[in-house]
Amino acid sequence: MDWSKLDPALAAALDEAGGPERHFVVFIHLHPDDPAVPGVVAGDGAVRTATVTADEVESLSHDTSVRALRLATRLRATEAP
Amino acid sequence: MRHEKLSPALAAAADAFARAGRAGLAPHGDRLGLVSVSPAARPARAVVFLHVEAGADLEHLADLGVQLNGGEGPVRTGIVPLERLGALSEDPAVHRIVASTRLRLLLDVATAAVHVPAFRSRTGRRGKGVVIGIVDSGIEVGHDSFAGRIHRVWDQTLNGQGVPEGRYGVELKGSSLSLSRDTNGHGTHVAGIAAGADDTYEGVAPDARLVVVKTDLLSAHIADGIRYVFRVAGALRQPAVVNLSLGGQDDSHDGKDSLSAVIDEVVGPGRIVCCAAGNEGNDNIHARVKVPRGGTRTIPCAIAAPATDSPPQVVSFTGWYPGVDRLSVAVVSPSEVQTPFQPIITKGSPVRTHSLADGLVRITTPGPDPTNGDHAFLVQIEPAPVPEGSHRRGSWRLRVKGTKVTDGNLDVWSVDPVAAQLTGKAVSDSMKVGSPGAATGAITVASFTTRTAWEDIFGQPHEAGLELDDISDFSSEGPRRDGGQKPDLAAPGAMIASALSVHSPVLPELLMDSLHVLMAGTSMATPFISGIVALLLEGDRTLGPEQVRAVLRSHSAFPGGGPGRWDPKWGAGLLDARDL
Repeated sequence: MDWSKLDPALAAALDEAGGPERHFVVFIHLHPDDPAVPGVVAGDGAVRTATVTADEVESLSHDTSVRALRLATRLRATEAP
Repeated sequence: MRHEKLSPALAAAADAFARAGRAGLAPHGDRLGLVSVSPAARPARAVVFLHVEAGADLEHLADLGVQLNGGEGPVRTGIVPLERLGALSEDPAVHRIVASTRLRLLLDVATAAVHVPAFRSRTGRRGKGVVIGIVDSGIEVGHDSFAGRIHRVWDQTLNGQGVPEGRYGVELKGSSLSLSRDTNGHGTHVAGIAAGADDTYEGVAPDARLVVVKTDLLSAHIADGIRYVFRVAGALRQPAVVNLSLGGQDDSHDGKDSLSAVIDEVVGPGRIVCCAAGNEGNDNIHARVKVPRGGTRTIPCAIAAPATDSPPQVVSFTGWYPGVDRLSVAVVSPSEVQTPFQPIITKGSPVRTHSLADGLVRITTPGPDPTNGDHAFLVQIEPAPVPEGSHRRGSWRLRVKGTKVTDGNLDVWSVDPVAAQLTGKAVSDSMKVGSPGAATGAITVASFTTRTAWEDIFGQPHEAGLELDDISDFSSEGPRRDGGQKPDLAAPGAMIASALSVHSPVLPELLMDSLHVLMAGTSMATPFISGIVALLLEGDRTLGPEQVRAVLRSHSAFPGGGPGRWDPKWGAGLLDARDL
């Protein structure tokens, strides 16, 4: 694993992960000029989204076209309490 | 007839109907909601609230011609023929019958406060030819306010093959739209403010077309939803504004987080995103400390200890500081046990876990963030349960040590203000606009209070603890961590009446009638601006985010401010749409 590409939340989630079946919803930041996009990554743009396993996170972290991997977080509706 | 079960307004209408038939209803038609007073084949009917036992089986009321809406609570809504009102009142399952009254003009108050009617009257614009994207909890597709204008719903929570932007969820259109339900009600309310077509509570852009994403609230899926709206609008050859009345605090607060990066990437001419500033104005979620070289600083945290029978709860704190500095992080438990100072870890996993008597602590200290070059750390605490009858003395504390310091500024946020807040001298009412409100390319909206008192459907008076005609105290303050000016401006956000989803729970005191409910928040202010943006795009479909921001900010003001001024709470101030 190239931990330098992972944000703290993704690193902590991987550390806590229960098994290979666990999936992670992530943002994948690509080097904008690198045409070699990893196969697991679909869509357009410099920032993609994907649902991946821990093994796929490791594979992506070693991919030269990947700049950063960040765990998606759950947002809240901004209704006042 | 059991008159004691009828609300006064309904009793008066029933009496008038008994004496003079439909003609007798005319004086009540303006006051009672949806009473069929005009001559028609259908009998005169009234929309009513029925007070019953929670969970009561009311199927037999269909024999009286009563059409009940969904729900199992103690207050149901339905339509009753007036000629059967007496029989309904005699039914032992029915404790009280209350007429649905017409709404108070709260949204009208709000629109008038920023002169939307004057702008629409001058320009004749109502949002026609523009898509408003609602990425939220869904929409009540059966609500009359949206009839015939919901183009697509992508329900991310249903199992299906999804759309090109994400192979999950189900895309719905036409008669299948009703498969998606807004069981929260937030998205329906938001959509009503932006685009509701309603005789009394008309939204800002009532002719706009709606593309709705019912999201699971994961930031990556919200990003997919934004891209989806813009693609669908592009296929229609229409400009679009996407409304995001949602947010979080576990990001870098500089607009460099992933969702903000996607927003910056996809906005452009005819593609605008409006975001809520957030509602953490009253919450101690942010602290700033200056860490000296070789010295330490401590930030106390207020964390509720769970009861022994509660499920485990993890509270998170995220810290950000310049990449030129190097800090070590420790946690002190309420029992005064401190974890070792953890430096930045660049070889192997940056995560270390410590099992303390007071709970589990996980500290993550990676190298610099690849996207902004700053250092971030994450502290997660899972407090051990406290036995019933006892309480834990002391508090959890974050402790940081300056190993290599050039700048020294450290900003820390509590990710969830309900679970944990920060205390002590370092707490700062600033930098509370998180993602996606921090996005450079977004129009970020604070809340202004235009109404603080109202009467609910039952005629009971209520007041909100807010200052009238002022910025809402709950509205989150900027600026961004990098000094960027967020929020951009303010719009009415409290207390706002808008469309009610019949599938959502609602507090009775916030009910205005069977179709509308009150809510407050920057969630409500944001669709106000999304609607305004739709009106601007109707006039010029090529407007981009910088042009929209410039025109909105130049027509906004706050007390004591002048042209070009900006305030951390107000942004550029309350919008005045009169001369847009």
